Parts: sequence; C-alpha cells; structure tokens
Amino acid sequence: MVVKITEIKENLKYLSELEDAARACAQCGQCRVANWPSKGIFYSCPVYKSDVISKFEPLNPRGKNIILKGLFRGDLKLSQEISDLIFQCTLCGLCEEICFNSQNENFDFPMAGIMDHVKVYEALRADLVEAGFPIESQVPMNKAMVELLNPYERDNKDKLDWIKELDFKVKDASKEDAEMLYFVGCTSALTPQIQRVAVATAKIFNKLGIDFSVFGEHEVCCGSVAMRTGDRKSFEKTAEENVKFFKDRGIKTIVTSCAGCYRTFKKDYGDKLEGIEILHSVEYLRNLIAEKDMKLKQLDIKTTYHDPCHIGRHMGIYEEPREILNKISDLVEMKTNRNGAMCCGAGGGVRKGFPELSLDLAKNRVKEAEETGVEYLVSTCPFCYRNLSDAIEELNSNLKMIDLVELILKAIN
Amino acid sequence: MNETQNVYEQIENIVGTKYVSDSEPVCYSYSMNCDFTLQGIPDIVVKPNTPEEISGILRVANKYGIKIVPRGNGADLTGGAKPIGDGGIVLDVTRMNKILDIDEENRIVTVEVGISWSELCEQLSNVGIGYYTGSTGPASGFSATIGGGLSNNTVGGGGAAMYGAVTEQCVGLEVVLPTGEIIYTGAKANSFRDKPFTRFGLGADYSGIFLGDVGIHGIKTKASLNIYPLPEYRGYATYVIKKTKEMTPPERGSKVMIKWQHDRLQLHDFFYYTQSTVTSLKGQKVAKGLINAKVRGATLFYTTVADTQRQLDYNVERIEKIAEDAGFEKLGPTVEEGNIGKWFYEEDGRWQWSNHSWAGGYLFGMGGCVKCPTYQLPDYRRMYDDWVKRNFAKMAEMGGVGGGAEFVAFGVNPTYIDVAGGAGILSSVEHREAQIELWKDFLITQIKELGAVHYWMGEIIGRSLVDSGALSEEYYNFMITIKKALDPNKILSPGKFYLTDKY
Repeated sequence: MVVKITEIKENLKYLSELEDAARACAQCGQCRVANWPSKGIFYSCPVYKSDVISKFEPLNPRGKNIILKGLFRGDLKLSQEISDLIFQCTLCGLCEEICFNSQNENFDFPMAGIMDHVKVYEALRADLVEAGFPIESQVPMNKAMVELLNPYERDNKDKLDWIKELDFKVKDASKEDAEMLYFVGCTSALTPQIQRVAVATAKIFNKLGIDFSVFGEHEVCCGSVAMRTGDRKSFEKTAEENVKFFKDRGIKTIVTSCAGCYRTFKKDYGDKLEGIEILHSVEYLRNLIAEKDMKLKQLDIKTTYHDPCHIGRHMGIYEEPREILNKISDLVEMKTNRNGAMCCGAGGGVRKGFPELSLDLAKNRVKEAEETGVEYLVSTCPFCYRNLSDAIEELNSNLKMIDLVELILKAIN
Repeated sequence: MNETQNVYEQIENIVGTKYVSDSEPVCYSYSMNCDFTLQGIPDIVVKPNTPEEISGILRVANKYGIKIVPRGNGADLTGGAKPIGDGGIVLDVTRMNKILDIDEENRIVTVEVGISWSELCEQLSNVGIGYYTGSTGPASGFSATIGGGLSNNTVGGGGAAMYGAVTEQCVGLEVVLPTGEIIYTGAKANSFRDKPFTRFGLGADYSGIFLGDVGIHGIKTKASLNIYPLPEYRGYATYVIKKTKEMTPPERGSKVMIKWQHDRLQLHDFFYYTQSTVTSLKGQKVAKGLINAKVRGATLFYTTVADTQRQLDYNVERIEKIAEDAGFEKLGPTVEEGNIGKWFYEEDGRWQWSNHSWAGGYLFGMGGCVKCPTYQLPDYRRMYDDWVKRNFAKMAEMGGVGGGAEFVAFGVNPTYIDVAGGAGILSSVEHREAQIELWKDFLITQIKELGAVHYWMGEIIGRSLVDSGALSEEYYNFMITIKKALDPNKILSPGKFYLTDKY
C-alpha cells in the first residue's frame, strides 16, 4: 500500500509542525535505562522503571520515537492502540536530560538541539485525540474544564471554600483592582486536603502586606490538563477565556502556587500573556525574602524536596525552593533531584488515565524520600502533593507531605 | 485459530498476558535498533522473566518452527537484535535485570543479562571498596545490556586498553539452548561448585561459542564477570599529532601507541581522534577547548591508573616520555585546554564512557567498528580516504553526506586497536536499498583491504563477511555444523551469516 506524504501530513497536523524534532531520535536507547551519576541521573524514565507496566518498547521514549517514525513513513496509522501506549507517559521530560539530540543545553552537537520530547509527545497526543482516539477516562475531565471551568467536574463556586478559612478579606479580582493576582489553580482550590496550600499562600501575602486578589468562583482552569492530554480545542478555549479575563481586568502580575498553572501560562500560552509578569509563589517569595532581607525562623525539622517537573525540568526552577528550605530546615537531598529528579507520577494525564501506574510512580518517589530519613516531604505543586500524599498513605509511610508555602508561613510567624 | 494465534496463546500461558504482545505498534517498535534502516517487524514480542520461561518459549517455537530473536536494550548498530525480514518473535530479556551475587572475596559478579552496563557499574561502585567491571561495555553501555555486550564482543565503553573486550571478563554463563535445555558453562558446569570463577577447565571453552555469537547459538540468561576495585589514582594527558614531511598523523600516532602497548604501562585507555572527529564533537566542553586552542592535527590522549601516587608518577613519566620523544605537542592539564581523559573520567563518565557522537535521526550511519593490529592505523586511514573518495558522489546523490566524524581508534589489551566509526549519509527512505548496498560495500572494503575483524556481528556485517568470501569453505562449514547441531529447527536468530539457509 502506497501512502501519500500529503495524506500522512494531513493526519499528523500537530506533529507535522514539529517534524524535525519528531524524527530526530537516533534510537540509542539512553532514554530507557541510562544511568549517569556524574550528571545526577540514575534512571532516565520513571514510567519505564515502574513494575506496574509491561515495559514494552513504546512505554519508553525511544519506542515512542520509533512509532513516530512509523507514522511519518506511513507504516503505522493513528489508532487507539497507539493512544493507549503513548499516553502512558507523565511528560516529565527526564528523557530530555540524557538525550544527545534533545534541546538539552548539556549537549551541543551538530545534530543536537533538535528533539523536544515533551512537545512532540503532546503534539502526537493532539493528533490522536483529533483522530478520535482519546483516553476515555480523560474525556469528561476536559469537557468539565470547558463547561464547569474546572476539570474536577465540580461547581466552580466551590473554589470559594478555601477562602472561608481565612480571617481576613481577600479582594475579588473580577471586581477589585490589586497589585497582584493570586491564581490558585483548580487542585488547590477544590481538593479539601490541599486547600491548605491556598490558605497558607494567602496568609503569607496578607502577613507581608501584599495587595493581592483572587478570581474565586470565576477562576478559569489554566487548561494544563487539556494541553497534556491532547485536547487542543478545549485548551485553546480556556486559554482564550483566561487571556481575555486577565487583559480585561488589567492584570499586571500573576503569582500561582501551582506548578502546572505556572508552566502553562508561561510556556503553553506562548506570547498571549505578553506584558503580564508570571511568577511561581516560590520565586515570588524568594525574591521578596531577599529584597526585604526577611529573617525566617529555623523550624528545626528535616526536609527533603521533590522537584515538580512543571517548574523544575520544564522551567528551570531548582534553587529558589532550596534556598528557602536551607534557611528554615535541614534539607537532605534525595538520590535523584533537580534535573534528574524522578517524577511523582501525576502529570501528563497519567493520574486520570492510568491510576495504578500513577500511584506506583508516586510510591517509588516516596520510597526514595524515605531513604533520606527526614520527616517532611516538601513540594511546590498541588498535583504532586496530592499524588505523593496518596502514596504516603498507601505505603503507610511516616513521611509528612507538605507544601513549601506551609513551611514558609510557619517560619514567618 | 491460525498458527500465530496458537503460538501466542501458548506463550501467554508461559509468561502471562501482561508480558506478551502482538499489538502492531508494539511489534513495530521492535523492528529497529540504533540502525533505523535495517528493519524487520516481528509478529510477537515477549518479555520472559526466567530461564525456565525462555526454555518454554523456545520449545513452543521449535514445535511450530517459529523464528526467535533475543534482544537486550537494542543498542546494536548493525541489526543484531532484530529479525531479518518480518515475522517471528522478539524475545526481550530486559525484565531479567537483577544482580544475583557479588562475590567480593573472588571479585566476581553474577547478573541476569538484561541489566545495563551503566546500572551494573553504578551499583558495583557502591559495594564495599567500590568496584567496576574493568572493561565497561560498549560505548552504548549507558543503555546496552550485559547480554548484548557479550553477544557482540564489545569494547569501547572504557577500560579496554587494560582489560580488553568485555568477553574477556566473562567467567561463565547460564544459557538456554535453542532446543530449550538450560546449561551452565565455565566452572559452574561442575554441579558441585556453588560459585563461578573461571570459564576454563571443564573441557573446551564452551562459553566461547556463546560470546560474540549475536545470539545465534543460545539465549544467555546469566553471566558472571570479573570485577575490579575502582582505580584510586589516575593520570591523563592529550597530545596533538601534526603531519610531518615524512609521516602522517596516523603513522606517527600508531608508533607511539604500539610502544605504549608493548611497555606494559598500566594504560587504562588511549584514544586517537582524527581532526575531523574532534571538530564534529564541537559541543563537548573539551572539544571546545581544542577548537579554541586552534589545534590543527589529530589528537591522542591516554588514561593511566595506579594504586599509589608513586606508581602513578612512574607510569606517567614513562608514558609521556614516549609521546614527547615522538615530538607530540602536549596540551594543558585542564579540561578547557583539551585534557579529554580528565573530562571523561572526572566530570563526565566515572569510568564509563557514553557515546557522545550518536548521530541524529537523519543520519544513516554506516557503522563498521573493526579490530585490527595497532600498526594498521595508517592503513585504515588510507582505506577510509580512498573509499570516501570513490563513493563521495554516490553518497551525495543519495541525500547528501552527513556528519563530520570519521573514526576514533582506541587501544584494546594487549596489542590491538578498535577503529570505531564508519561513514554517514543523510537517511533517505527513497534510497534505502541503495544505502544498504553502499554500507555493505564499505564493510566488504574493510574486510578485504584490511583483513579487518568487526566486532558488531549483526545482520549486515555477518552477511558481508560471508559475501566477501573472507571465510574459507572449511571454516564456514564448521560454523554451519555447530549451528545445525545446536539449532536443528533453525529457529534462533535465523539468517545471520546465512547459516540457517545452508542446512
């Protein structure tokens, strides 16, 4: 059967835009199992490390890349079988850290700087979804994101719940002006055990006298889940709404305590939010602590820090949280950290699409944290918080999950 | 129910549903290794976890005459771990990846063969005084498995000048024969012995027929290897070798390398880079140093190791005297000044090299790593230049010459070198067949003009060896006799060296 190149490219709408990157894999397989201690990398794919999966080739990056080539050659066609394999990836980007052909700044060869795994896999997911092959369990999530403004299929009014915990008034961004918008994110706002992240963030801002506002029930999901799970239409819709909202309200600075929202606004929105400063709360607070030369209380606790992929590998924020943690606690690093950190397993739609795999990755990360002998596992992402908390419970671990803002709040009290 | 379905069900009964697949994308993803031009799509992929499961699968394959290709991490460049043509079963051993025993007293590690060289060396480095495997696998050892390394007689991952090919560290194997029997080779063939220590002494070296066999004689499941303490003291330097009126850089370089090898100088590694290779690696910190220093010429660097500072000083003095007597220009001691060995061992590789020159996905790499006596380096240079000159126009016609790396030659204990490299052209589906023919021509030229011995023995090299007429009729018949005796039903990796076509 001869398949015309034009026909192939029509079916691969999003991938075709990234064809160079999609075909750049040299198939060396370092992204499967490579171990490179001098670069702080002890395993190159957290999914492929999990014993929950069968570990056939497409469950590691190289296998996915061979499928990409098969699609471009016309040897393979988009299918549900491909979706079921391709979506078993958290899009953590660890594979990019060990790939000679990736846009990893560690390497600069004539043929390097081409591959962008996360972007390419997201494009393939978009093509799969448009071809009618989504992961079924992810469909309602994206639908709710558009219709209810959050992917949790909840009434968006529930996003006001956490505010009731505060003993001060918070400005409503849809009506009142403020110097900074605190974008809470759906996970912190709607998950009871994680609302404490939003509460702690707001309390810190209040304590430091920062003029901030929140959108509350009007806050529209950033669209991250749709972007990761290939639903570009839903993503574009929510992005448009947010952009309009922010611009209409004259927002100049957005601070978010959610790693996913941060990555999405800063990277996936492209230049749509040009002119608006976007900061993760850890960046914002770190700068503030430095500017005001604030003295933080040493909490006399031992902590270890889990780098969320969305602010770590995807955005390069590694040192800011550590700078703070080193001031307020005894920080002990896990074996894998910073650009080599293993993923919590929640991202890329895996928690929704493949819960058993997701939990197993989180368990692996918690076990790694346990090896440090600390009491607190700290993160700066509500989604990591949620998955790692589940793993702590499942493992009956003595570790306590906590967000960095909760510790900062204690340290400035 | 057709035969393939029947086979599938029987295999499913052996390994369980989770570890067998006939899904189109799964099978497709096993159709290539690092070589993406050679392609054969299997019908079934299976991931067993024990030698007994492998034995069961092989018995099913024998019953139905289905071909099986064993595979590690598929880091092979010449079609070693994939089917020749479509169909059959790929048997992926990477679930079998445990370290089974570390015998510190006798310095031997026993592993399941699906573990990667990088994982093994990392784990060994944390045991006792800190160990490694000496010869640390192929340059693809970050991903390549022990089984793959042993099946290809690999070198290149570091330590070869001191320890030789990885197969020289092997003191015994557990192998599932093509007909399903499970055997031990080496000292452990003595059923009263609990731990392996040598592969010799119980008749002929039967481990040897499974080493470098590209998986045609049996499926290795466990391997025992010598291990060594990580070296405490090390020294390195890089030299620039310029052309003189009388001699070319390879001629000058090979003379020094030979002397280094003859004088037993505790050289852990030495590598000769052509100028073009250095330039092509411009992104490496060290190569940037070389380029910034405007080095014009080939480079030669060494690494030596010792147990004491005094011993190290003694080695360094002797090694460097030989290079300086030859008039080589020594570069500065820092990485930025081009001290390649220092960069690899102290900053990058911790006693294991990664292959820093993996081509991009657009490059059709005509890999042809050959072993030859060190004195043949100038001959290799001449052969390479002549071949490129003869074929340049053809290569350009097929999509353009790609990549700048020519080759790297490195020392292998005791007195030979491995010339790693090949030629690169831009990959083209349109010219695929012609490119494969050109690749074969390159390999056959190496075989005929240099009498070279390749270490990868995948589809294309094994067949080129036969096609070139290099093997005498008697030798080839001997190979066929062994293959036939072990694999009467032609099920294991058929087609390699055309052996199964001959009985």
